[in-house]
Amino acid sequence: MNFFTSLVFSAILLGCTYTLVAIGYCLFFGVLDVVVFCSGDIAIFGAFSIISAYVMLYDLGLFQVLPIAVTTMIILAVAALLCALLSILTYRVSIKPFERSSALMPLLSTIALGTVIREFLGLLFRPLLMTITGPITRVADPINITSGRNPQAMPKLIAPNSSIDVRNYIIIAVTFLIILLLFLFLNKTKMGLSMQAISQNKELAYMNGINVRKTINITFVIGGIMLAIGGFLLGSYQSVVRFDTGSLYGSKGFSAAVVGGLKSIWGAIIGGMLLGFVEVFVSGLIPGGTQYQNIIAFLVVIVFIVFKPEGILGEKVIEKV
Amino acid sequence: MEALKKSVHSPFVIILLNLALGFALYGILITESLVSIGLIIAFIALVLFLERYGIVNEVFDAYNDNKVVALISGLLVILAVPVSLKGNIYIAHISTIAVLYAIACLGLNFQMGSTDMTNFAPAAFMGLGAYSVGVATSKFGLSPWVGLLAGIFVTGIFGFMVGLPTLKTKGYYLSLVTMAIQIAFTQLMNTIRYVGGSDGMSGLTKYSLFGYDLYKRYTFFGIRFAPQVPFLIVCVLFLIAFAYISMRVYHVSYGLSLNAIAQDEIAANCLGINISRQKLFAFVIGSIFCGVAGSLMVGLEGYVGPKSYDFAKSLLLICMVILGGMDNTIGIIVGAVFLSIITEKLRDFADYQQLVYGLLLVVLLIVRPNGILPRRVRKYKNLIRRNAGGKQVEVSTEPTA
Amino acid sequence: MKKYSFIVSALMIVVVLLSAAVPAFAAPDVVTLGFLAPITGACSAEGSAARNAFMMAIDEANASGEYPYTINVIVIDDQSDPTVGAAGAQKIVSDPTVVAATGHWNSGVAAATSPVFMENEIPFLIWGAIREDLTSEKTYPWVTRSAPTDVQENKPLAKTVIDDLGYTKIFMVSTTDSYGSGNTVAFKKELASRGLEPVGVEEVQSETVDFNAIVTKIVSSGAEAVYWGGVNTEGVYLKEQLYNAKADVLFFGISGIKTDDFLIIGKEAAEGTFAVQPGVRLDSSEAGRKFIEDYESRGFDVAINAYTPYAYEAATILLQALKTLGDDPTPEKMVDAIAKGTFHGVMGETTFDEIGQTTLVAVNLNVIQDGQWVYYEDSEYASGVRKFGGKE
Repeated sequence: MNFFTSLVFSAILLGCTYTLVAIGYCLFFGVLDVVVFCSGDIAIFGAFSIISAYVMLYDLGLFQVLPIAVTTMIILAVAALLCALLSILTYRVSIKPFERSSALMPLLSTIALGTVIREFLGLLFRPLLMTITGPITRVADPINITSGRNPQAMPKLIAPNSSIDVRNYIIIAVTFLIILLLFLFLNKTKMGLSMQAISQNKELAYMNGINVRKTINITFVIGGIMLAIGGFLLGSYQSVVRFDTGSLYGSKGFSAAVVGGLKSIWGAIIGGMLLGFVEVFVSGLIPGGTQYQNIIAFLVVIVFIVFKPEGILGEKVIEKV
Repeated sequence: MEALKKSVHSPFVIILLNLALGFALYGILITESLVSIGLIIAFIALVLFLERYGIVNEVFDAYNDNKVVALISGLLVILAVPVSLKGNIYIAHISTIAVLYAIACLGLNFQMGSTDMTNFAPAAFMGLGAYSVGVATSKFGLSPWVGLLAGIFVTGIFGFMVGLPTLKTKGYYLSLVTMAIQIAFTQLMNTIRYVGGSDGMSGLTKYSLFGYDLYKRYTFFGIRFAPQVPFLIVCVLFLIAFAYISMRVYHVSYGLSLNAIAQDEIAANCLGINISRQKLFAFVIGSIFCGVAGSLMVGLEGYVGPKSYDFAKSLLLICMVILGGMDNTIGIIVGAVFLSIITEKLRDFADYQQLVYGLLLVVLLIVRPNGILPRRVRKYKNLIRRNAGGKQVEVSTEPTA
Repeated sequence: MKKYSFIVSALMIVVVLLSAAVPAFAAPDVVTLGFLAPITGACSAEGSAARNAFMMAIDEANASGEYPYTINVIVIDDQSDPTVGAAGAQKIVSDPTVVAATGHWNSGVAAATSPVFMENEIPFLIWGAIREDLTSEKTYPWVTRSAPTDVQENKPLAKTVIDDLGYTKIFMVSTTDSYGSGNTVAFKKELASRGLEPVGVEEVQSETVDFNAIVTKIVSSGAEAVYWGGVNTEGVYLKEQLYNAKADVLFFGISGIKTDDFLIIGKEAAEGTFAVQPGVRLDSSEAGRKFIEDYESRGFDVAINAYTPYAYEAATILLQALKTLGDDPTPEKMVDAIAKGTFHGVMGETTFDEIGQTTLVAVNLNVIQDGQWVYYEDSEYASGVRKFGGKE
């Protein structure tokens, strides 16, 4: 690969990871009109659950018995389940109590919850894992578990024996597959359509006999699963995860979602890719430009919001008294 | 309870109350970590309890009715607290930080509390004020007071510039714009070598007044005071001045029109409120408050660096405003002081400090989403009395979100 | 009200339960030392390891019965934030039993706190912040430093990589924080003194995780070696992403990556990483071996980092200074005892020069071989069995 194509490739990969978090924001915002700011932390929590599940399966000796595809599926299922639970918990603790108050409250409450999740991972990840699986110093084959505040090696679950390029192709493919599945879900199933209905008008949806509560809960489950996959892909892409990267990752995902137009899934994809391309190209093409990559990325976001406040694919809302 | 309600209107009770509040503050400051946090929780619980019987509102009214007594005794008590710290360096230090955060929070309140515009960049404005002092003293050899004036100027202009996008955006879009500005500010300061990059500038000149250093150990009546005490008193005076400005703004038409914008922008516009002007006003005055707080911060630490004014600091300020009670000047000061003390007193938990802090916040938000002293119902007693024979009219300015 | 009363009481219970974790209040007849480190936040791994080592030394001293008083420690978490650190320093100096303090892994925080210690006349020993200007005539004798500066670390690194191994096309990557920018300046100077120019210089903000664009740049620049002037927190991502891109370069760096946490990226990815570590080889002395053994036997959940022995060394210096003062140590006596004394610790013999900088400047070179850090002299790279990347 030459210089330019490999830059494009990196940009698409980075864009994919932002996109998944941005979609999480879109889903939550769609049904509830709230910004769940700990989405990035939930994704990182997902990555840590994958590591834990991996270690546990390794301890049980399942890797020798089962083929890698099956173990990967089990690990992903565990992570998705945990993230879905955390996502529901987020809804119960940080969003539901503020249904009638200003929109700022859930934002703040989820930020605080994000701190709790982050510190929980940093402090308790290793002790918890140790109580479940016994002493772990350097057991699991290619990965070492260190204290939660250190970077953690992500197990190579996608095509472990092939080259990084193949792995990256798979990451991009999986991202698009997930988006396609989500798209089908939203447009072809009854539950997906109810979500869209709630997103457009909650009262009207309620009057049409849609079970709003249940739909909201299911949205959070699906959002949690999306974020778990986001964490998985992010971890696989970077091979290393750290407990405190969730907040920056979350604000990038939020930026992507806003630039795309908060309620549009396609907008989230465009926003994520835009951010990915801006960051990678600033870093790659300007000598000494890496230190400015976040600054420029956020400046682009500001310019976009100021000149196109409804986002790229958002609908222009005309306010009436 | 009814008897209690009546009795708070007597001037003696007000003086007693002020004294009690002063002692409570002193106790919270001086006690060890857990006792202190316990006292804070007890205080919040007491406020919650009294509020159920409407006594908190009654107290506010009583203070309004006996302005002179309340003001004089309150001022004496507030100024007595720094003096009572005597040689306790650490407590004097965190008290000063608390006072400065309170000033910044009052500024943030113009945007967040009054106008319902979320600003995630108050720390960036504090940073601008602090950097102005840093540059003025270390690069040009000027007095920090000149730096403070420059800081007011710079933050005012910057606030105006940040305010401009708010004319076009609102809600989450605005919060993202300010969030982006905050993160970009910290990262930009990291890369500018002229102001020390990520090292920041240290060993800066501290404030002095009439030839007396404000940050120095003085001995009065045989008591050796902590070096922060004189500066703390100056900061308290600043806080009182700014609190007065905030209260005035709240009571005149500016404050009312900001509230109107918070409730319904279009309706406010139809009522003839110049929305652009009001929003820019909220941003400029708020930024200046934050800038002054930042400028004064340099006088305490003699240091300015990007890490001190990052996104986490902005979140802390926002939490202070919300916990204290939006659009309630006294509440905001209480929130700022409590939260600054809590974060310091949690130090003893070492590893668990951040976790406990996050948990506390989550729980407090659920228990008391409106803050310790919530937004008060506006009363136009005197105005109405003249026209309608003493009948009170209450105007709720609760946003209908 | 009823609705929330249970939450309030639950909160109370949590607070009470946590109180068990709080250290007991100071008993009379104690001498207190201050210790500052980033125990939470992005640099928490380094900080908590240092805290463990420091406390280990103090516990040993208290258990030995050689001191006529109990040595108490105020541990302050600076969160790598100068404001937090400065407030913590105020907490230390306001305790009347404090006789000395030691602290900081982040140079920026040390710059903010050393004035606090100076104006309150408490001797302050820096164990882990390496920016050169932290010790000077102005700060002497109140501020001393037992760790080498960034210049002292980069010099031997440059000598080995450029002069001995013969690398000339070097791409420099470092963080914009205090540590990284200090290293950038120091290493550029080393290159310039040999008439060389780096083939590229990139600085990244701390907490960066995506280096793929830089990796692409490195590969296309034809660099033979990549200099990393930062810590493990970001460095481990860069090395992994370099490996994934199959970049054939030597990855070498400053002491910030010499930690076992660097090895998590796996045997193949980490292979051939070259790093300088301050201090003498720990396994070369009895005391050093005992330190490693003691530390590991306590089962801390963070491993020994490059500066962990320095925190232990700082404790040793303070303890030995205390010992010379007999029954009644004061800060005024301590400052002379530290600045003028001679100390024997795990690193060897420490004395301080006329600006309070340690005269013990020793570094050792390390390389990762088969997923382990080994001393360069003992490795198969030195004997010629294996070859570093980037060279034929």
